[in-house]
Amino acid sequence: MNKDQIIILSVFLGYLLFNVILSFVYSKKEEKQLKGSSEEKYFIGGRNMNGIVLAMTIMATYTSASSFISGPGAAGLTYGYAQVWIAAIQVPVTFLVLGVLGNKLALVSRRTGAFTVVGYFKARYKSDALVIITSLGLIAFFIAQMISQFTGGATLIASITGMDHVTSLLIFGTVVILYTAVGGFSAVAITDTIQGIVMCVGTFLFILFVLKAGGGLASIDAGLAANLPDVYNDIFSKYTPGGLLSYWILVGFGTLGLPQTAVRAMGFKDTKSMHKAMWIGVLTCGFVIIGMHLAGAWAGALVDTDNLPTSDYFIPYIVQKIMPSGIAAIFLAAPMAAVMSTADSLLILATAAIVKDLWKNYVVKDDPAKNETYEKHVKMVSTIVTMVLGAIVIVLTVNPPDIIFLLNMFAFGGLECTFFWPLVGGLFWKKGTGLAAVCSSVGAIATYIFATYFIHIAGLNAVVWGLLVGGILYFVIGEITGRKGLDADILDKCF
Amino acid sequence: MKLTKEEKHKQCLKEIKATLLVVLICFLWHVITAFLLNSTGWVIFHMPAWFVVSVFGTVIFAIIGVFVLLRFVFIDFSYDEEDEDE
Repeated sequence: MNKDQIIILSVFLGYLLFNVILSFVYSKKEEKQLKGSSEEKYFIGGRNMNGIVLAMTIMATYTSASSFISGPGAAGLTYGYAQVWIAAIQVPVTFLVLGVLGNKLALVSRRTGAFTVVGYFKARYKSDALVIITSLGLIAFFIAQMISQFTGGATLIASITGMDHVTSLLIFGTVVILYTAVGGFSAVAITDTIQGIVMCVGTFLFILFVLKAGGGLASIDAGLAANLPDVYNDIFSKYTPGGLLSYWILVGFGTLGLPQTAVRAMGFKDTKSMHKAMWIGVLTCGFVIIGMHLAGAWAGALVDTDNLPTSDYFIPYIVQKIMPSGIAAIFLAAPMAAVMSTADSLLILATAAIVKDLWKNYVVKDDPAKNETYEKHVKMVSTIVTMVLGAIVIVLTVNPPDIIFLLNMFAFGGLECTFFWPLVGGLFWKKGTGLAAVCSSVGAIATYIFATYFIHIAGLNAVVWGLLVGGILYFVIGEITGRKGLDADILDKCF
Repeated sequence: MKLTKEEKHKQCLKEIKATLLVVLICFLWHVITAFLLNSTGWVIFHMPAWFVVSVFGTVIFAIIGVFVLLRFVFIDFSYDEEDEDE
């Protein structure tokens, strides 16, 4: 390791340690102050998020390794401005999720006592099959997404310090698992907030140094014309119109079906917090996502990068070329923050699915004695489950996938297919029955997997077919089975 | 503001429709301008015109959209007062 790498590693380790200490201190404070049951405090932070925390935790959870490493790397190395165009679809996500799901989920989750999306399904549909299917789907796709995030974190550390993949993975994984396991949702939310701020600072630094190194936009344009001729300025050079449009489903409208963002709508304090978060969200999300991808595309003009193994190495590589080591360390804390904030949210929700949605519902059930034991030990059990789950992800990440982006996108689409119609339809359509939701979820996910391998029409992403089939099944079966109407308890609590 | 359960439901639906309309406008601007301007070869600030008009236009529409939503559509109401209201 040379001097520069030691400086970067020191800043990194300091940043990681800061997150652990912050989450410990904050979660202890929240534990004393918050009202509600242990599980409500651990899994949803007592529904106490203010506007800034809400906006930052949605933005930080949503922006991930793909937003800071893979996407900008792909823009600079392969796709040019078309990749930035795709990234820009994500600008409205925060206010889309809060505007559509926010108030309704906040109201219904308080009435039903739900603090997970699957918990809401249990109250809304009263279907054990749906609870089990969506819980298992959530765990499977979250593990896939966590693998991509852990790979991103380890790649980042390895590429700037020269350490091997496994050591880098262990450093990254241990920190994320530790603060998530001990602090729960409160720790996740507060570290997400800090990480969101770090991401904004990192994005600003990246734009500034790329522009400086590139010698202004005119030189950058000339450099891109030389390095990515006929590609960087043509939106259709690498993508078909159908492929581009389907990104509006995958990373635009479809995000309404992502449980990791939807659950945030159950955790904020009041409507004022939500309104503030919509403002902060559109500004920070726009700045970070477009800023990183745009500067990533510009960075494609700066160097010849034929020797990089994948585009995931491009951003760490370019940063070390154009920034002094101290600044590079500060910048590289931003993608690390993006990766950590996504990984911790997935980890806490996967734990909630196992402990709350499966164990509580099907092992503890309504037995008073078991419930007393559950309430007493839920935090300890959740901590252990988080640690075990994290350890499993570390083991699965030892042989990482080549491209983080593709694995992340596959899991992303899978989650949307599993959750979209039961969640969105369930909030607003009174004929949506348990059977309709189960068929929609299973049909959408089966179609999504089938279409991923066998249906390639006009470059459309498989998620389009999955959501289309899921929607048809939800509304047709709902129309047939929901004629008698839902039972009074569902109507009372969920509408 | 105090609202009854039914009023809250109606307000939620109003907010949802307005939010979807804003996102739909962003979507249409983003796609139509990029697809139409791509073949022109026009350049703005040393970047392709399709990119500048489409992406920065979408950001501007999103920001104006949130302003309009919060100023004219969304209102503050309590989540916890339903029993008293009814």
